[in-house]
Amino acid sequence: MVGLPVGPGVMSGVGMGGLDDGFLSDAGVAASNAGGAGSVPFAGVLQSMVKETNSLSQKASDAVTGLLNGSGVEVHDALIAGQKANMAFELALQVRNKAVGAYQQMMGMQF
Amino acid sequence: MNIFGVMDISGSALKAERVRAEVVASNMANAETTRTTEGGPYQRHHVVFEAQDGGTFQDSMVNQLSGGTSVSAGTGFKNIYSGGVIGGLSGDLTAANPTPGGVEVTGVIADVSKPLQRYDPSHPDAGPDGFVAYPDINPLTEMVDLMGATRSYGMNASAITAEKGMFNSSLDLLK
Amino acid sequence: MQTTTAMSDALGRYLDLTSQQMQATARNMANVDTPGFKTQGFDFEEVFAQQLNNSAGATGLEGVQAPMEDVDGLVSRPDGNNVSMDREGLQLAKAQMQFKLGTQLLKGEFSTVMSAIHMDSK
Repeated sequence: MVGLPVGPGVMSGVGMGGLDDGFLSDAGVAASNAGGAGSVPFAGVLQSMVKETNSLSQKASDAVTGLLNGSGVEVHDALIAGQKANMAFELALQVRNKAVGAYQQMMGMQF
Repeated sequence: MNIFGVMDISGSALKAERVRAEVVASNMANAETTRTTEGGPYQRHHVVFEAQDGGTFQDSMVNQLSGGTSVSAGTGFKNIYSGGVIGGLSGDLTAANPTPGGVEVTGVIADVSKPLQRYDPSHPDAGPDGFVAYPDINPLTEMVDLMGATRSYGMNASAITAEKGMFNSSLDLLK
Repeated sequence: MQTTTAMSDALGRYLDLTSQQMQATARNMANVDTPGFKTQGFDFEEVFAQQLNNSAGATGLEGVQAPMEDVDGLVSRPDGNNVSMDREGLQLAKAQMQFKLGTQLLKGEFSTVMSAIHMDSK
């Protein structure tokens, strides 16, 4: 994953504080507590998204294995878990793409 | 329940109804049979159905869902997986495996009622008093039994079709 | 270069076993009128678990055959045949649905990997 080398100071100027609406609010809170500047470092948000995706896809893997083994997992449970993991993955992917795009855009700015 | 537990229940009903139909057919075919290998006339046979429990149905469902530990939303299926296979639920390789909630034929027993006596001294099986013992089988009773078995078989087959449809539509979640 | 996941290997074996189950069921159904024929089958879950454990490290989908055994608990008709059409019909339906499930899950697995490969194209 791309770790963006920007700190809270730069990001607060661009108004990234609104990122913690809804999803990842705990990551946002933790990051802003650590940063103390009232804004959310983007690197923390991305990292927590990756962790979340990982854990969801592990759950989905367990569920599908349980389904195939015949050990009592219901079909819809396993499929829903799989879809959740898929959606988390796609979301993280798109966020990462946008972040990289924004970074490149900023790096391309002439002063 | 394993992935196809619902279908196993209906499957057990299909097997049981088929046995019932076979017994009825055997009764009707032997309605006039005066001699058997055990001597005496053919005895009418009954089937005995028994519900398979393994405790109560409720207990086995609750057992699976909790896996012995508490269920928390979102990790419920994980507990089931780590709880392992509940014995007796998986595999229908042996028909002797009970399907909780299903039905089982526990016996085909012969009727102990007295045979019908008809006076016919010229019959080769006539007793010393000239009476021949015939099985006491009423074809109307057997026909009604057969209709019942056919109807139940059809209903359970429809249940299986419905269960298949449910499974297929849950596969649509992946699309 | 690793483009497959552990899940896709497991799913491959699942599909393998399911198609073997189909073959066994078809064989039993074809022999419903053969005198003296005994129903043959295998315990799907047991063999699947075994293959998963054994295959840690093995790659590819070698056709490991499941051992066929006589199915007990079935009633024999007077000619010695003990094939039950109900059981075989049920097994057929189950195998069909298992196959469908396996292919759908495999499709999902591979599409996830593909979207990771195509990460940068918008």
